[in-house]
Amino acid sequence: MRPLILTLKKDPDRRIDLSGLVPENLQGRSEKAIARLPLDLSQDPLEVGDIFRLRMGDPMSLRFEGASERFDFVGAGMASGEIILDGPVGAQAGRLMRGGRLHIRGDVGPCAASRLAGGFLEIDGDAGDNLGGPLPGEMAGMSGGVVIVRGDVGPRAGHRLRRGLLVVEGKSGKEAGSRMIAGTLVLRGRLTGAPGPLMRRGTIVLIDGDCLAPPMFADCGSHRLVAASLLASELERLGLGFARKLRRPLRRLAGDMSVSGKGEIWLA
Amino acid sequence: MPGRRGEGRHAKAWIEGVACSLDAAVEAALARLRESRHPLFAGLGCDMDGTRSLVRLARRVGASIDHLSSTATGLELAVARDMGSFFTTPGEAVARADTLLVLGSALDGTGTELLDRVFETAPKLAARGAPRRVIWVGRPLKGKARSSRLEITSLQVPASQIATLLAALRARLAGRPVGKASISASRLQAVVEKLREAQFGVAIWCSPPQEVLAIEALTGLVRDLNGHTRFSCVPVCAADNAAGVAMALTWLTGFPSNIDFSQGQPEHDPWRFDAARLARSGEADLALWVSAYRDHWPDWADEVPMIALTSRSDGARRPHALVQIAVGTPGVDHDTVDYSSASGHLAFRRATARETIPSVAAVVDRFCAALIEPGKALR
Repeated sequence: MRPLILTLKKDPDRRIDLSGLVPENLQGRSEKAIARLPLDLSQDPLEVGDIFRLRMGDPMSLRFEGASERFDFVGAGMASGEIILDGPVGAQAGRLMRGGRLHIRGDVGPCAASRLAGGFLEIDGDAGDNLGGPLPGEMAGMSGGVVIVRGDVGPRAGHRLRRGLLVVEGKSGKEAGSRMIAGTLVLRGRLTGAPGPLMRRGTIVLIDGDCLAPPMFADCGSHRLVAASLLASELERLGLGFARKLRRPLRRLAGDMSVSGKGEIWLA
Repeated sequence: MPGRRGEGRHAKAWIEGVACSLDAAVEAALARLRESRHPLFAGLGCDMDGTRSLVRLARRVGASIDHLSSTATGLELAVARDMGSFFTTPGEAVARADTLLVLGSALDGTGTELLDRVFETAPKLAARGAPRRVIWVGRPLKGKARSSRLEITSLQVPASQIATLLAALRARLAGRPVGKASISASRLQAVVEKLREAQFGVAIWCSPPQEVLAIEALTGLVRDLNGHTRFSCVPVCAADNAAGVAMALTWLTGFPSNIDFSQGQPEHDPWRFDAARLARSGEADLALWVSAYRDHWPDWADEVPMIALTSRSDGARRPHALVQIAVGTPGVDHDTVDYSSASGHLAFRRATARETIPSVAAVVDRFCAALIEPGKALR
């Protein structure tokens, strides 16, 4: 069945909340009902029909033709189906996502994948600060699922990561993996500063890692880890060719010693 | 009520740089506020009364609010909220602290006042008779604190290394190994022993924090030290009543800064409701800039039409402000309640040179009164 297509009519004059435009919320709604969904509840409200032209199809497969940096909460809370979006988006894309597949063919703003709990989020461009991290007042970040960023990421990627897999193919901003609780953060490109400050548990994998030995991590020597080959298989399944490097012996650092020393950095 | 609220007839006001009466300026500002789609209230350098009035107005017009130093204050609050922390008051620190851990690199004018007090006095209620121990981290200590009452250990590291040094201290406190730190292992151990021996330890730093990571590392260290002894923190707050405004915003809206009322209820987001971002992106079409304590303007002032309520002391009018109204300085021109960093709580201050110039609250209350139109629902 054809996908449901939303074509951007004009750039919005304000930030809009796209959390209502997720597959399970659109199922069973008519074209008219979808066009009446609110995007902004200010004194001068906006509806879907004011911003998008609709071409009806299967709402479980949603396509956005055209996007704006002012789109916030794209795919937020989605539990099933698929969303594909061309262009950049704003803050908190994929926030609280539980399932399904969200593919953004552009850059995303800060707090993308914030507290993502399941599903698959793919970002072709760059991501802003605090990728996968919690919002103010929340205790933990991403708690499941898979996120792949093809471009660069801002500071504190994987902040307070609790579970799940986060892969960054480009460069990482400072303090990647800060205060990680558990989970896996794979960083392929160059880093700014030392990774994993104040991490409690979890694994940070540095591919071709030329990381300065962070003073709070203890060198545990070179190993061939069973966990590394399991991770390699998982990454290969996701089409990430660099995973083969995990099948070679790798150096393991334990830390952050100031917190508990139970986290680890692999230099593959 | 002239004097108390300071509403007077000799106010200075300008419309597009041309002097006018206060009434004309208020009318011009009201016209702008009425037609604005997304106003932004920024600066918020004002006392408690002013903050209350601004929140009332923001609710009515659906504005975003961003505090002047929300980034610094917000980061600090974020660390306390995420990790929990141990705080004490400046008074307790002066009276009881036998050991001080000072992050010296960012201490500016506001911080030195408290430091002078702890450096120049002996702890009256200390359990131990020995001189105060000071562990000074960061920039070298200049001139200050040569007193015989003090026993100073200076750990000179660049600002970027403070977090690592504190983390190393925390690791050694727990008996875990540390890689190559910026000071020798024996020195590190000696400092850890000093911290452990404290009977009433206090960590002091200044609000515009060096790095959030340094504050996180310090908070963690203080938490671990409380497993051995009593240790707490005294953050010296930013200028312009930053802590007071953050408190008032929290009790009025639930959030300390970066609040938006456009959707009807208060919403908080440090990025979406950041004043500089809102002004530069064109999302806000009008700014209400408030700076009653000093002559201060944002670096994005030219990027959005602006109504400014500024301190009277500024001689130069800013022609780019659509409307500018001079307001009284709290505690100088009118009586005030604001946050006192010397005592660590809200305090009443009587006007020192009472003038008939309106306070922020008086001007904003006039906006509020005019914007409640009978029969028209304004949020």
